[in-house]
Amino acid sequence: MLRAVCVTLGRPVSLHALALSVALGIPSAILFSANGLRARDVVALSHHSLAMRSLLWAVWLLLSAPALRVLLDAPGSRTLRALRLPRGSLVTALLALAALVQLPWAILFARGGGSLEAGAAVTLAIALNASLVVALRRGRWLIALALGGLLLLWDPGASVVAACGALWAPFALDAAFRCALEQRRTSLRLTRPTHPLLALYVTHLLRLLRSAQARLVIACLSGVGGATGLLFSLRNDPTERVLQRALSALALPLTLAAAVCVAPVLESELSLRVMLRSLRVPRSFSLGAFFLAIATPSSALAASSGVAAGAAYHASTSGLGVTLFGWAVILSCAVGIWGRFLESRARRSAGTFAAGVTLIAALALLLAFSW
Amino acid sequence: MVILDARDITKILGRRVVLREASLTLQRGERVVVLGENGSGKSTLLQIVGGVLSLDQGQLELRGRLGFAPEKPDIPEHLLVGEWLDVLASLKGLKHVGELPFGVAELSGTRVSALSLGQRQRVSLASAWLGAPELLVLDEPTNGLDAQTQAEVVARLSGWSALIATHDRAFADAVATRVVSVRAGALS
Repeated sequence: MLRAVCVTLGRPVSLHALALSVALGIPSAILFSANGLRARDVVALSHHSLAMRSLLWAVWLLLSAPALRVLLDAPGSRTLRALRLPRGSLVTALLALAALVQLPWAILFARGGGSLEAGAAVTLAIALNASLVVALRRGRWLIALALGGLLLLWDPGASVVAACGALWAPFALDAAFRCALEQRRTSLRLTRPTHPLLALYVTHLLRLLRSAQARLVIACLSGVGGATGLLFSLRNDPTERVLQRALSALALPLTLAAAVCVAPVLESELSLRVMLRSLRVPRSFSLGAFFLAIATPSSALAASSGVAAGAAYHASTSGLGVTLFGWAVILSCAVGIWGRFLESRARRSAGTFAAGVTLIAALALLLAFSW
Repeated sequence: MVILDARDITKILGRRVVLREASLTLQRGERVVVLGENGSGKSTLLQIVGGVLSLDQGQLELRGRLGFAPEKPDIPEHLLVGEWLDVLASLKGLKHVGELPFGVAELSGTRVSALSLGQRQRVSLASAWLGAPELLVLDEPTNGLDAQTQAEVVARLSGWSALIATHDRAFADAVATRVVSVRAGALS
Protein backbone atom coordinates (compact mmCIF):
# COMPACT_ATOMS: atom_id res chain seq x y z
CA MET A 1 0.00 0.00 0.00
CA LEU A 2 2.73 2.39 1.07
CA ARG A 3 4.65 1.39 -2.06
CA ALA A 4 1.63 2.20 -4.27
CA VAL A 5 1.33 5.68 -2.78
CA CYS A 6 5.06 6.31 -2.99
CA VAL A 7 5.26 5.14 -6.61
CA THR A 8 2.26 7.26 -7.61
CA LEU A 9 2.85 10.42 -5.61
CA GLY A 10 6.40 10.02 -4.35
CA ARG A 11 8.20 11.09 -7.50
CA PRO A 12 6.35 14.35 -8.21
CA VAL A 13 6.31 15.31 -4.51
CA SER A 14 10.02 14.47 -4.09
CA LEU A 15 10.89 16.54 -7.16
CA HIS A 16 8.97 19.53 -5.83
CA ALA A 17 10.40 19.08 -2.34
CA LEU A 18 13.90 18.85 -3.79
CA ALA A 19 13.38 21.96 -5.93
CA LEU A 20 12.12 23.86 -2.88
CA SER A 21 15.02 22.66 -0.72
CA VAL A 22 17.63 23.57 -3.35
CA ALA A 23 16.00 26.92 -4.07
CA LEU A 24 15.92 27.72 -0.34
CA GLY A 25 19.37 26.26 0.26
CA ILE A 26 21.12 28.90 -1.88
CA PRO A 27 19.89 32.00 0.01
CA SER A 28 20.02 30.09 3.31
CA ALA A 29 23.71 29.29 2.79
CA ILE A 30 24.32 33.03 2.51
CA LEU A 31 21.93 34.04 5.31
CA PHE A 32 23.15 31.44 7.78
CA SER A 33 26.86 31.73 6.93
CA ALA A 34 29.49 32.01 9.67
CA ASN A 35 28.99 35.77 10.09
CA GLY A 36 25.30 35.73 9.32
CA LEU A 37 22.13 34.72 11.11
CA ARG A 38 21.84 31.80 13.53
CA ALA A 39 18.88 29.44 13.42
CA ARG A 40 18.54 29.75 17.20
CA ASP A 41 18.12 33.55 16.91
CA VAL A 42 15.50 33.21 14.17
CA VAL A 43 13.45 30.68 16.17
CA ALA A 44 13.79 32.73 19.38
CA LEU A 45 12.75 35.90 17.52
CA SER A 46 9.74 34.10 16.05
CA HIS A 47 8.63 33.21 19.60
CA HIS A 48 9.17 36.71 21.00
CA SER A 49 7.81 38.85 18.17
CA LEU A 50 4.26 38.35 16.89
CA ALA A 51 5.03 40.25 13.66
CA MET A 52 8.14 38.15 12.98
CA ARG A 53 6.27 34.93 13.73
CA SER A 54 3.39 35.87 11.44
CA LEU A 55 5.76 36.90 8.64
CA LEU A 56 7.91 33.77 8.91
CA TRP A 57 4.92 31.42 8.93
CA ALA A 58 3.12 33.27 6.13
CA VAL A 59 6.21 33.07 3.90
CA TRP A 60 6.73 29.38 4.63
CA LEU A 61 3.08 28.43 4.10
CA LEU A 62 3.13 30.31 0.79
CA LEU A 63 6.34 28.59 -0.31
CA SER A 64 5.32 25.07 0.67
CA ALA A 65 1.72 25.24 -0.61
CA PRO A 66 2.50 24.36 -4.29
CA ALA A 67 4.45 21.23 -3.30
CA LEU A 68 1.65 20.12 -0.98
CA ARG A 69 -0.86 20.64 -3.77
CA VAL A 70 1.17 18.24 -5.95
CA LEU A 71 0.68 15.63 -3.22
CA LEU A 72 -3.07 16.17 -3.33
CA ASP A 73 -3.74 16.37 -7.06
CA ALA A 74 -0.83 14.69 -8.88
CA PRO A 75 -1.95 12.80 -12.04
CA GLY A 76 -1.91 9.35 -10.40
CA SER A 77 -3.90 10.44 -7.35
CA ARG A 78 -7.22 9.77 -9.10
CA THR A 79 -6.33 6.10 -9.39
CA LEU A 80 -5.34 6.03 -5.72
CA ARG A 81 -8.73 7.49 -4.76
CA ALA A 82 -10.52 4.91 -6.91
CA LEU A 83 -8.63 2.05 -5.22
CA ARG A 84 -10.31 2.89 -1.87
CA LEU A 85 -7.18 2.13 0.13
CA PRO A 86 -7.36 1.72 3.94
CA ARG A 87 -7.65 5.25 5.25
CA GLY A 88 -5.15 4.89 8.09
CA SER A 89 -2.36 3.62 5.86
CA LEU A 90 -3.13 6.17 3.16
CA VAL A 91 -3.00 9.07 5.62
CA THR A 92 0.27 7.76 7.10
CA ALA A 93 1.83 7.66 3.62
CA LEU A 94 0.48 11.14 2.81
CA LEU A 95 1.88 12.47 6.10
CA ALA A 96 5.30 11.01 5.31
CA LEU A 97 5.34 12.69 1.88
CA ALA A 98 4.01 15.97 3.31
CA ALA A 99 6.81 15.88 5.90
CA LEU A 100 9.31 15.56 3.04
CA VAL A 101 8.09 18.91 1.69
CA GLN A 102 8.62 20.42 5.15
CA LEU A 103 12.28 19.41 5.33
CA PRO A 104 13.80 22.94 5.18
CA TRP A 105 11.28 24.11 7.81
CA ALA A 106 12.14 21.14 10.03
CA ILE A 107 15.89 21.79 9.70
CA LEU A 108 15.44 25.44 10.69
CA PHE A 109 13.45 24.60 13.84
CA ALA A 110 15.54 21.53 14.71
CA ARG A 111 18.74 23.61 14.60
CA GLY A 112 17.08 26.51 16.36
CA GLY A 113 15.11 24.77 19.10
CA GLY A 114 15.49 21.00 19.00
CA SER A 115 13.43 18.07 17.74
CA LEU A 116 10.25 18.98 19.64
CA GLU A 117 10.26 22.47 18.07
CA ALA A 118 10.80 20.88 14.65
CA GLY A 119 7.95 18.41 15.19
CA ALA A 120 5.62 21.20 16.30
CA ALA A 121 6.50 23.41 13.35
CA VAL A 122 6.17 20.62 10.78
CA THR A 123 2.85 19.20 12.01
CA LEU A 124 1.29 22.64 12.38
CA ALA A 125 2.48 23.70 8.90
CA ILE A 126 1.01 20.52 7.34
CA ALA A 127 -2.25 21.02 9.25
CA LEU A 128 -2.56 24.69 8.24
CA ASN A 129 -1.71 24.08 4.58
CA ALA A 130 -4.11 21.12 4.31
CA SER A 131 -6.87 23.00 6.17
CA LEU A 132 -6.55 25.89 3.73
CA VAL A 133 -7.09 23.48 0.82
CA VAL A 134 -10.23 22.13 2.51
CA ALA A 135 -11.50 25.56 3.64
CA LEU A 136 -11.47 26.77 0.02
CA ARG A 137 -13.97 23.99 -0.74
CA ARG A 138 -15.81 23.40 2.57
CA GLY A 139 -16.87 26.53 4.45
CA ARG A 140 -16.88 24.97 7.95
CA TRP A 141 -13.15 24.30 7.74
CA LEU A 142 -12.62 28.05 7.96
CA ILE A 143 -13.25 27.58 11.71
CA ALA A 144 -10.44 25.02 11.93
CA LEU A 145 -8.20 27.35 9.96
CA ALA A 146 -9.05 30.27 12.27
CA LEU A 147 -8.32 28.12 15.36
CA GLY A 148 -4.99 27.13 13.83
CA GLY A 149 -4.22 30.79 13.21
CA LEU A 150 -5.06 31.60 16.84
CA LEU A 151 -2.79 28.79 18.04
CA LEU A 152 -0.01 30.23 15.93
CA LEU A 153 -0.54 33.74 17.29
CA TRP A 154 -0.90 32.56 20.91
CA ASP A 155 2.21 30.33 20.70
CA PRO A 156 1.59 28.24 23.84
CA GLY A 157 4.87 26.35 23.60
CA ALA A 158 6.33 23.58 21.46
CA SER A 159 4.78 20.65 23.36
CA VAL A 160 1.20 22.00 23.11
CA VAL A 161 1.64 22.98 19.44
CA ALA A 162 3.19 19.58 18.65
CA ALA A 163 0.29 17.75 20.35
CA CYS A 164 -2.34 19.87 18.55
CA GLY A 165 -0.52 19.56 15.23
CA ALA A 166 -0.10 15.79 15.55
CA LEU A 167 -3.83 15.37 16.21
CA TRP A 168 -4.99 17.87 13.62
CA ALA A 169 -2.63 17.21 10.67
CA PRO A 170 -3.87 13.66 9.82
CA PHE A 171 -7.54 14.77 9.78
CA ALA A 172 -6.77 17.88 7.72
CA LEU A 173 -4.62 15.96 5.25
CA ASP A 174 -7.24 13.23 4.89
CA ALA A 175 -9.98 15.81 4.25
CA ALA A 176 -7.74 17.73 1.85
CA PHE A 177 -6.93 14.58 -0.16
CA ARG A 178 -10.62 13.73 -0.46
CA CYS A 179 -11.76 17.16 -1.65
CA ALA A 180 -8.69 18.50 -3.50
CA LEU A 181 -10.07 17.61 -6.94
CA GLU A 182 -13.33 19.45 -6.35
CA GLN A 183 -13.84 22.96 -7.64
CA ARG A 184 -13.22 25.75 -5.14
CA ARG A 185 -16.34 27.30 -3.61
CA THR A 186 -15.58 30.70 -5.06
CA SER A 187 -13.08 31.52 -7.73
CA LEU A 188 -12.17 35.13 -8.14
CA ARG A 189 -12.80 36.37 -11.65
CA LEU A 190 -9.87 38.57 -12.51
CA THR A 191 -10.62 39.83 -16.00
CA ARG A 192 -12.82 42.35 -17.76
CA PRO A 193 -13.08 43.14 -21.47
CA THR A 194 -10.14 45.43 -22.14
CA HIS A 195 -7.37 46.11 -24.69
CA PRO A 196 -6.25 42.90 -26.45
CA LEU A 197 -2.62 43.31 -25.32
CA LEU A 198 -3.69 43.66 -21.69
CA ALA A 199 -6.10 40.73 -21.97
CA LEU A 200 -3.35 38.46 -23.33
CA TYR A 201 -0.93 39.68 -20.66
CA VAL A 202 -3.42 38.94 -17.86
CA THR A 203 -4.09 35.48 -19.36
CA HIS A 204 -0.37 34.67 -19.21
CA LEU A 205 -0.02 36.05 -15.67
CA LEU A 206 -2.98 33.95 -14.51
CA ARG A 207 -1.28 30.91 -16.04
CA LEU A 208 1.78 31.64 -13.92
CA LEU A 209 -0.24 32.31 -10.78
CA ARG A 210 -2.66 29.39 -11.03
CA SER A 211 -0.79 26.59 -12.79
CA ALA A 212 2.90 27.33 -12.32
CA GLN A 213 3.19 28.31 -8.66
CA ALA A 214 6.22 26.10 -8.13
CA ARG A 215 8.03 27.96 -10.91
CA LEU A 216 6.94 31.31 -9.47
CA VAL A 217 8.28 30.24 -6.07
CA ILE A 218 11.62 29.36 -7.69
CA ALA A 219 11.64 32.74 -9.46
CA CYS A 220 10.89 34.54 -6.17
CA LEU A 221 13.49 32.56 -4.24
CA SER A 222 16.05 33.22 -6.94
CA GLY A 223 15.32 36.96 -6.80
CA VAL A 224 15.33 37.01 -2.99
CA GLY A 225 18.58 35.01 -2.96
CA GLY A 226 20.17 37.52 -5.33
CA ALA A 227 18.95 40.47 -3.26
CA THR A 228 20.23 38.86 -0.04
CA GLY A 229 23.60 38.20 -1.67
CA LEU A 230 23.76 41.82 -2.80
CA LEU A 231 22.95 43.17 0.67
CA PHE A 232 25.52 40.91 2.36
CA SER A 233 28.13 41.74 -0.25
CA LEU A 234 27.56 45.47 0.24
CA ARG A 235 27.73 45.04 4.03
CA ASN A 236 30.88 42.91 4.09
CA ASP A 237 32.69 44.65 1.24
CA PRO A 238 31.38 48.23 0.85
CA THR A 239 31.93 49.85 -2.54
CA GLU A 240 31.44 53.22 -4.22
CA ARG A 241 30.12 51.47 -7.31
CA VAL A 242 26.88 50.15 -5.84
CA LEU A 243 25.17 50.03 -9.24
CA GLN A 244 27.84 47.83 -10.81
CA ARG A 245 27.73 45.51 -7.80
CA ALA A 246 23.94 45.32 -8.00
CA LEU A 247 23.92 44.59 -11.73
CA SER A 248 26.46 41.78 -11.38
CA ALA A 249 24.93 40.30 -8.20
CA LEU A 250 21.48 40.11 -9.77
CA ALA A 251 22.48 39.03 -13.31
CA LEU A 252 22.18 35.29 -12.67
CA PRO A 253 19.15 35.34 -10.30
CA LEU A 254 17.14 37.59 -12.63
CA THR A 255 18.01 35.49 -15.68
CA LEU A 256 16.92 32.37 -13.79
CA ALA A 257 13.70 34.07 -12.60
CA ALA A 258 12.81 34.94 -16.21
CA ALA A 259 13.85 31.52 -17.56
CA VAL A 260 11.52 29.53 -15.29
CA CYS A 261 8.56 31.59 -16.54
CA VAL A 262 9.19 30.98 -20.26
CA ALA A 263 7.63 27.50 -20.60
CA PRO A 264 4.28 28.25 -18.87
CA VAL A 265 3.85 31.52 -20.77
CA LEU A 266 4.62 29.79 -24.08
CA GLU A 267 2.07 27.08 -23.19
CA SER A 268 -0.49 29.76 -22.42
CA GLU A 269 0.18 31.41 -25.77
CA LEU A 270 -0.06 28.05 -27.52
CA SER A 271 -3.50 27.40 -26.04
CA LEU A 272 -4.66 30.73 -27.51
CA ARG A 273 -3.09 30.20 -30.93
CA VAL A 274 -6.21 29.06 -32.79
CA MET A 275 -8.24 32.01 -31.54
CA LEU A 276 -5.40 34.50 -32.13
CA ARG A 277 -5.18 33.35 -35.75
CA SER A 278 -8.90 33.14 -36.42
CA LEU A 279 -9.45 36.63 -34.95
CA ARG A 280 -6.39 37.94 -36.82
CA VAL A 281 -4.96 39.50 -33.67
CA PRO A 282 -1.81 41.48 -34.58
CA ARG A 283 1.38 39.53 -33.81
CA SER A 284 2.77 42.55 -31.96
CA PHE A 285 0.08 42.08 -29.28
CA SER A 286 0.91 38.43 -28.64
CA LEU A 287 4.65 39.16 -28.64
CA GLY A 288 4.19 42.14 -26.32
CA ALA A 289 2.05 40.14 -23.90
CA PHE A 290 4.61 37.30 -23.90
CA PHE A 291 7.56 39.53 -23.04
CA LEU A 292 5.57 41.53 -20.48
CA ALA A 293 4.48 38.36 -18.69
CA ILE A 294 8.01 36.95 -18.58
CA ALA A 295 9.50 40.22 -17.37
CA THR A 296 6.89 40.89 -14.66
CA PRO A 297 8.15 38.62 -11.83
CA SER A 298 11.85 39.35 -12.38
CA SER A 299 11.41 43.12 -12.85
CA ALA A 300 9.26 43.37 -9.70
CA LEU A 301 11.92 41.49 -7.74
CA ALA A 302 14.70 43.61 -9.27
CA ALA A 303 12.98 46.91 -8.46
CA SER A 304 12.31 45.80 -4.86
CA SER A 305 15.94 44.67 -4.47
CA GLY A 306 17.14 48.00 -5.83
CA VAL A 307 14.98 49.99 -3.42
CA ALA A 308 16.06 47.78 -0.47
CA ALA A 309 19.78 48.04 -1.35
CA GLY A 310 19.48 51.79 -1.91
CA ALA A 311 17.75 52.30 1.45
CA ALA A 312 20.23 50.10 3.33
CA TYR A 313 23.38 51.66 1.91
CA HIS A 314 22.28 55.28 1.44
CA ALA A 315 22.35 55.15 -2.35
CA SER A 316 19.59 56.58 -4.58
CA THR A 317 16.66 54.20 -4.05
CA SER A 318 14.75 55.35 -7.12
CA GLY A 319 17.86 55.33 -9.34
CA LEU A 320 18.88 51.86 -8.24
CA GLY A 321 15.30 50.56 -8.40
CA VAL A 322 14.69 51.89 -11.93
CA THR A 323 18.07 50.70 -13.25
CA LEU A 324 17.60 47.19 -11.86
CA PHE A 325 14.04 47.16 -13.22
CA GLY A 326 15.42 47.97 -16.68
CA TRP A 327 18.17 45.36 -16.24
CA ALA A 328 15.53 42.71 -15.43
CA VAL A 329 13.48 43.69 -18.50
CA ILE A 330 16.55 43.41 -20.78
CA LEU A 331 17.52 40.00 -19.34
CA SER A 332 13.92 38.75 -19.55
CA CYS A 333 13.67 39.83 -23.18
CA ALA A 334 16.93 38.03 -23.99
CA VAL A 335 15.69 34.85 -22.29
CA GLY A 336 12.28 35.21 -23.95
CA ILE A 337 13.81 35.61 -27.43
CA TRP A 338 15.92 32.49 -26.82
CA GLY A 339 12.85 30.57 -25.62
CA ARG A 340 10.79 31.60 -28.65
CA PHE A 341 13.63 30.78 -31.02
CA LEU A 342 13.92 27.28 -29.58
CA GLU A 343 10.14 26.84 -29.61
CA SER A 344 10.12 27.45 -33.36
CA ARG A 345 12.76 24.74 -33.94
CA ALA A 346 11.81 21.12 -34.49
CA ARG A 347 14.79 19.83 -32.49
CA ARG A 348 14.85 21.38 -29.03
CA SER A 349 15.51 20.23 -25.50
CA ALA A 350 15.54 21.54 -21.95
CA GLY A 351 19.33 21.17 -21.98
CA THR A 352 19.69 23.47 -25.00
CA PHE A 353 17.44 26.02 -23.33
CA ALA A 354 19.43 25.84 -20.07
CA ALA A 355 22.72 26.21 -22.00
CA GLY A 356 21.40 29.35 -23.71
CA VAL A 357 20.17 30.77 -20.41
CA THR A 358 23.58 30.14 -18.81
CA LEU A 359 25.24 31.92 -21.74
CA ILE A 360 22.88 34.90 -21.36
CA ALA A 361 23.67 35.08 -17.61
CA ALA A 362 27.42 34.89 -18.32
CA LEU A 363 27.18 37.68 -20.93
CA ALA A 364 25.14 39.76 -18.49
CA LEU A 365 27.81 39.29 -15.82
CA LEU A 366 30.54 40.37 -18.26
CA LEU A 367 28.48 43.41 -19.24
CA ALA A 368 27.91 44.33 -15.59
CA PHE A 369 31.62 44.01 -14.73
CA SER A 370 32.59 46.20 -17.66
CA TRP A 371 30.04 48.91 -16.67
CA MET B 1 -24.53 39.52 -50.95
CA VAL B 2 -21.49 37.23 -50.97
CA ILE B 3 -19.93 36.95 -47.52
CA LEU B 4 -17.33 34.29 -48.32
CA ASP B 5 -15.64 33.72 -51.63
CA ALA B 6 -13.04 30.96 -51.78
CA ARG B 7 -11.50 30.22 -55.17
CA ASP B 8 -9.29 27.30 -56.18
CA ILE B 9 -8.00 26.67 -52.69
CA THR B 10 -5.22 24.11 -52.50
CA LYS B 11 -3.62 22.96 -49.28
CA ILE B 12 -0.74 20.54 -49.04
CA LEU B 13 0.19 19.08 -45.64
CA GLY B 14 3.47 17.21 -45.84
CA ARG B 15 3.32 15.43 -49.20
CA ARG B 16 -0.43 15.01 -49.20
CA VAL B 17 -2.77 17.31 -51.10
CA VAL B 18 -5.53 17.76 -48.53
CA LEU B 19 -7.58 20.26 -50.56
CA ARG B 20 -7.44 20.41 -54.35
CA GLU B 21 -8.66 23.59 -56.08
CA ALA B 22 -11.70 23.83 -53.85
CA SER B 23 -14.06 26.71 -54.59
CA LEU B 24 -16.98 27.84 -52.45
CA THR B 25 -19.12 30.96 -52.16
CA LEU B 26 -21.47 31.68 -49.33
CA GLN B 27 -24.25 34.28 -49.45
CA ARG B 28 -25.46 36.20 -46.39
CA GLY B 29 -28.04 34.11 -44.54
CA GLU B 30 -26.86 30.88 -46.14
CA ARG B 31 -25.85 27.89 -44.03
CA VAL B 32 -23.55 25.60 -45.94
CA VAL B 33 -22.91 22.19 -44.43
CA VAL B 34 -19.77 20.36 -45.50
CA LEU B 35 -20.09 16.58 -45.41
CA GLY B 36 -17.37 14.06 -46.03
CA GLU B 37 -15.53 11.04 -44.75
CA ASN B 38 -12.88 11.20 -42.05
CA GLY B 39 -9.73 12.82 -43.40
CA SER B 40 -11.46 14.10 -46.55
CA GLY B 41 -10.40 17.71 -45.87
CA LYS B 42 -13.49 19.20 -44.16
CA SER B 43 -11.65 20.49 -41.10
CA THR B 44 -8.77 21.76 -43.23
CA LEU B 45 -11.22 23.78 -45.32
CA LEU B 46 -12.81 25.25 -42.20
CA GLN B 47 -9.44 26.01 -40.64
CA ILE B 48 -8.37 27.83 -43.80
CA VAL B 49 -11.58 29.88 -43.80
CA GLY B 50 -11.12 30.41 -40.02
CA GLY B 51 -7.63 31.80 -40.58
CA VAL B 52 -5.93 29.05 -38.58
CA LEU B 53 -4.19 27.51 -41.59
CA SER B 54 -2.66 29.39 -44.50
CA LEU B 55 -3.36 28.79 -48.18
CA ASP B 56 -0.87 27.16 -50.50
CA GLN B 57 -2.74 28.26 -53.62
CA GLY B 58 -5.96 30.09 -54.39
CA GLN B 59 -7.80 33.11 -53.08
CA LEU B 60 -10.00 33.68 -50.08
CA GLU B 61 -12.18 36.72 -49.55
CA LEU B 62 -14.13 37.20 -46.36
CA ARG B 63 -16.48 40.15 -45.88
CA GLY B 64 -17.23 40.76 -42.22
CA ARG B 65 -16.21 39.36 -38.88
CA LEU B 66 -15.91 35.66 -38.23
CA GLY B 67 -16.74 33.43 -35.27
CA PHE B 68 -14.81 30.16 -35.25
CA ALA B 69 -15.50 27.05 -33.16
CA PRO B 70 -12.76 24.45 -33.77
CA GLU B 71 -13.36 20.71 -33.64
CA LYS B 72 -11.31 20.41 -30.45
CA PRO B 73 -12.13 23.44 -28.28
CA ASP B 74 -8.75 24.90 -27.39
CA ILE B 75 -9.45 26.93 -24.26
CA PRO B 76 -6.76 27.80 -21.67
CA GLU B 77 -7.33 25.36 -18.80
CA HIS B 78 -6.29 27.80 -16.07
CA LEU B 79 -9.01 30.37 -16.78
CA LEU B 80 -12.57 30.51 -15.51
CA VAL B 81 -15.16 30.34 -18.27
CA GLY B 82 -16.11 33.97 -17.55
CA GLU B 83 -12.48 35.04 -17.80
CA TRP B 84 -12.09 33.22 -21.12
CA LEU B 85 -15.12 35.02 -22.51
CA ASP B 86 -13.73 38.35 -21.23
CA VAL B 87 -10.40 37.65 -22.96
CA LEU B 88 -12.22 36.69 -26.14
CA ALA B 89 -14.38 39.83 -25.98
CA SER B 90 -11.18 41.87 -25.61
CA LEU B 91 -9.62 40.18 -28.64
CA LYS B 92 -12.79 40.83 -30.63
CA GLY B 93 -12.77 44.49 -29.55
CA LEU B 94 -16.02 44.26 -27.59
CA LYS B 95 -16.80 46.34 -24.51
CA HIS B 96 -19.17 43.76 -22.99
CA VAL B 97 -19.59 40.02 -23.28
CA GLY B 98 -23.35 40.40 -23.59
CA GLU B 99 -25.96 37.64 -23.58
CA LEU B 100 -24.55 34.12 -23.61
CA PRO B 101 -26.31 31.23 -25.34
CA PHE B 102 -26.39 27.52 -24.41
CA GLY B 103 -26.50 28.12 -20.64
CA VAL B 104 -22.88 29.27 -20.58
CA ALA B 105 -23.67 32.10 -18.12
CA GLU B 106 -24.16 29.42 -15.43
CA LEU B 107 -20.65 28.13 -16.10
CA SER B 108 -18.90 31.50 -15.90
CA GLY B 109 -17.45 30.80 -12.43
CA THR B 110 -16.20 27.33 -13.39
CA ARG B 111 -12.58 26.56 -14.24
CA VAL B 112 -12.18 25.40 -17.84
CA SER B 113 -10.21 22.39 -16.56
CA ALA B 114 -13.31 21.27 -14.63
CA LEU B 115 -15.63 21.32 -17.68
CA SER B 116 -17.02 18.16 -19.24
CA LEU B 117 -16.70 17.57 -23.00
CA GLY B 118 -20.24 18.81 -23.63
CA GLN B 119 -19.79 21.91 -21.46
CA ARG B 120 -16.54 22.69 -23.24
CA GLN B 121 -18.34 22.43 -26.58
CA ARG B 122 -21.08 24.78 -25.32
CA VAL B 123 -18.44 27.33 -24.27
CA SER B 124 -16.72 26.98 -27.63
CA LEU B 125 -20.00 27.57 -29.51
CA ALA B 126 -20.87 30.56 -27.29
CA SER B 127 -17.38 31.92 -28.00
CA ALA B 128 -18.05 31.69 -31.74
CA TRP B 129 -21.33 33.60 -31.32
CA LEU B 130 -19.70 36.28 -29.16
CA GLY B 131 -19.98 39.72 -30.75
CA ALA B 132 -22.53 38.54 -33.34
CA PRO B 133 -20.09 37.85 -36.21
CA GLU B 134 -21.25 37.97 -39.83
CA LEU B 135 -20.07 34.40 -40.51
CA LEU B 136 -19.97 31.40 -38.17
CA VAL B 137 -17.46 28.67 -38.93
CA LEU B 138 -18.36 25.61 -36.86
CA ASP B 139 -16.33 22.40 -37.00
CA GLU B 140 -18.34 19.41 -35.72
CA PRO B 141 -20.54 21.62 -33.49
CA THR B 142 -22.63 18.74 -32.14
CA ASN B 143 -19.67 16.81 -30.67
CA GLY B 144 -20.49 15.90 -27.08
CA LEU B 145 -23.74 17.89 -26.99
CA ASP B 146 -26.95 16.51 -25.48
CA ALA B 147 -30.16 16.47 -27.56
CA GLN B 148 -31.53 19.60 -25.89
CA THR B 149 -28.45 21.70 -26.63
CA GLN B 150 -28.31 20.32 -30.18
CA ALA B 151 -31.88 21.52 -30.67
CA GLU B 152 -30.88 24.92 -29.27
CA VAL B 153 -27.98 25.10 -31.74
CA VAL B 154 -30.36 24.27 -34.61
CA ALA B 155 -32.84 26.94 -33.47
CA ARG B 156 -30.15 29.55 -32.92
CA LEU B 157 -28.53 29.00 -36.32
CA SER B 158 -31.61 30.12 -38.24
CA GLY B 159 -31.00 33.54 -39.78
CA TRP B 160 -27.20 33.30 -39.44
CA SER B 161 -24.60 32.76 -42.14
CA ALA B 162 -22.60 29.67 -41.34
CA LEU B 163 -20.12 27.19 -42.73
CA ILE B 164 -20.47 23.94 -40.83
CA ALA B 165 -18.60 20.64 -40.99
CA THR B 166 -20.40 17.66 -39.49
CA HIS B 167 -20.87 13.92 -39.62
CA ASP B 168 -24.36 14.21 -38.19
CA ARG B 169 -26.73 13.81 -41.16
CA ALA B 170 -29.85 14.70 -39.15
CA PHE B 171 -28.22 17.90 -37.87
CA ALA B 172 -27.10 18.75 -41.40
CA ASP B 173 -30.65 18.28 -42.73
CA ALA B 174 -32.03 20.46 -39.94
CA VAL B 175 -29.73 23.44 -40.45
CA ALA B 176 -28.44 23.39 -44.03
CA THR B 177 -29.61 25.66 -46.80
CA ARG B 178 -27.01 23.96 -49.01
CA VAL B 179 -24.92 20.83 -48.61
CA VAL B 180 -21.52 20.32 -50.20
CA SER B 181 -19.39 17.24 -49.91
CA VAL B 182 -15.64 16.83 -49.84
CA ARG B 183 -14.08 13.75 -51.32
CA ALA B 184 -10.31 13.32 -51.49
CA GLY B 185 -9.82 17.07 -51.15
CA ALA B 186 -12.24 18.06 -53.90
CA LEU B 187 -15.50 19.91 -53.23
CA SER B 188 -18.67 18.93 -55.04
